[in-house]
Amino acid sequence: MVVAGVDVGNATTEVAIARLSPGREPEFLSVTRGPTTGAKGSAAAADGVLDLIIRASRRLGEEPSRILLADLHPVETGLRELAADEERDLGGVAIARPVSATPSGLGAAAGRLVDLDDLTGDPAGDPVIPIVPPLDFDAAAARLNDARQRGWRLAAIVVTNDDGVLIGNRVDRTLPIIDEVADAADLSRGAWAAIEVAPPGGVVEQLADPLRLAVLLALDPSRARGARNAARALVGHRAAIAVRGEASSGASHRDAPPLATLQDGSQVAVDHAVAPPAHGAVRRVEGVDAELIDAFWAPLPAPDDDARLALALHARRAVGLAVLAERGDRVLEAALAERAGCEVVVVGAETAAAVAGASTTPGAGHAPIVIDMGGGTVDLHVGLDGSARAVAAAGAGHLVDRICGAILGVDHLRAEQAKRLPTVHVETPFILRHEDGGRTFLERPAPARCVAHLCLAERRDGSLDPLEAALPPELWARLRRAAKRDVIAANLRRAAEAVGGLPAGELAVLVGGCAEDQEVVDEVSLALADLDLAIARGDILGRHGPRAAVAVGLVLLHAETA
Amino acid sequence: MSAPAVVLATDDAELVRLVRAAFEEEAVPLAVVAPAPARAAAVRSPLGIGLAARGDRLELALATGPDEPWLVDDDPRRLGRIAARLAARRPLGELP
Repeated sequence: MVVAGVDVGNATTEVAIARLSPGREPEFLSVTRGPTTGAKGSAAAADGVLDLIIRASRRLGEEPSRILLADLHPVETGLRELAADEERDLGGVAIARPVSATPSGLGAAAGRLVDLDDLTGDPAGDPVIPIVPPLDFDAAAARLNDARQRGWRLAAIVVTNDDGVLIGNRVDRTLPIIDEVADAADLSRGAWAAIEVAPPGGVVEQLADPLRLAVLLALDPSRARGARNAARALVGHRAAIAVRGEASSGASHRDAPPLATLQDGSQVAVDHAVAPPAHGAVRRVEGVDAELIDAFWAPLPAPDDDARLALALHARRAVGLAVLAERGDRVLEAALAERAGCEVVVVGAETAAAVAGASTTPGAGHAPIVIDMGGGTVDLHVGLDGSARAVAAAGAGHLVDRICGAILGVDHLRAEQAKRLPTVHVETPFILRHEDGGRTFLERPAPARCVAHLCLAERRDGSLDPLEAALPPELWARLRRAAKRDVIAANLRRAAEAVGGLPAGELAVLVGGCAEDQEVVDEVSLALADLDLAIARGDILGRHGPRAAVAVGLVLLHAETA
Repeated sequence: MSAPAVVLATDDAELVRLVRAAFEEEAVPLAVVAPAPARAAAVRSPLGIGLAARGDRLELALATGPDEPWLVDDDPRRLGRIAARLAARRPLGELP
């Protein structure tokens, strides 16, 4: 009989096809994998399973007569930011942060926003901040100089095009001038505004200070505190503008975090400042329509050597959440049975299958500790002295993706690449700076779009994929590793507590997609360093690395009972 | 030439005006020399970056690497900005 052991993961589906003969070890004919189609356990996931089985069957010339599945529990992961800038009440202060790296002048100044065309009349009593529309820089400078000569007091200038320095050189090099202000049309004409330009390499100080900002905008003391969110939003920028608007409460518009209900009925906030409860403690989470086996959350990591970035990440109040749900249906099993036209058997728990699969690693035997780190969960199995304990903890590779994506500002598919690929900074078309500070010199120039950018570096062909995040590779690498530590290593510690601890000095075999990532292996090894464990990566059937442990294990478990 | 500068090889006054504006905005030094291929201009540039007109287009060449231009553009202000940002090691922005 030919059977197919199928592991439908949250990210990847793996299929191990084997021939079972009475009294003999299973003969493995094929191990393949592909992306999971649809949610784990859903009918849509059958597409990916059948595609893999059909392709393998064609190659082998025979089809499986039985499909073997594990008892599946779906995991959902997501990331929620409770404090995106646009959601904040800025205390009646509008802000803009120009994209240009070349503002002109230095310092902070305040005045009333006017259009350049408004400078044709008699001068106003107040200092003004003209807004220069897309216009030739010589013509704009001539009109600004003419207005100054007629008595207009220019406090600062807003330029729509990337002409700030050109205009500054022709008008007044000391005036703060911000340029490339794409939303200049939205600035409220007649409103009182403040502009600050910091020296090269510096960041705004006066506009980022709530009291100084309130003074510049002539806010009364009752509104000064309300300006704190606007000031906070300008931290870390070289140039900025703040505009006084109608008074508002200035209270932070603090979206309430979802609440998690624990088994004892108490509730905790799913918040970046709240540690997730112990494994299995959460029964429900607001907004998730399912009874839960486990829930885990993690904040964005904070670099301990970069207070400015740490503050910016903290202010986002972002939290990545993973929930492991009970599954009340068998729609995947039914879909597979109907469409494949063969018997579908649920063999047992994923953890048990992972242990069986891990045992095919040469030299491993029946390892007492097996850690399966996949897309959705960290599964821990401890079998020693005739007893076995196993837990599946929500939150693994996908949650790392979400956190990496939030830091880099990319979707989760790109984040998945960013999680596993090294990065470089393209210093010049011929020089790459690596995460360890080392340099590579290219024979042919890098693409122009990569220059001065943090880029993902594909290992196979060396191709570069530029990212928009302005992070040096050394810092990004630390954040990436911290995300893996905060999710996978932290979750493994929760799982270890749930099984009553791990025995010291034993062999632990790592399997699953995350076990292919050396950084994850390093973080796991560090998390378990006190236990003096022999931590080894699985090599399923001696040729598949740490992948396909569950698919192979399902076949082995089934062969024992069939 | 020893002062750090990108070299523009042309005698076209309008081209010089447009490219010089881009360099002024980016606060990067530009030296203008007699017409020559962009690669020759790059070799003369202490920053290894050269610009030169070829027909009605502007070419940006690097002193190292292949002989052919690295970028070609029909917008002198834009390619000037790219050359200046390349010298300043800033992201290049919009590309041709």
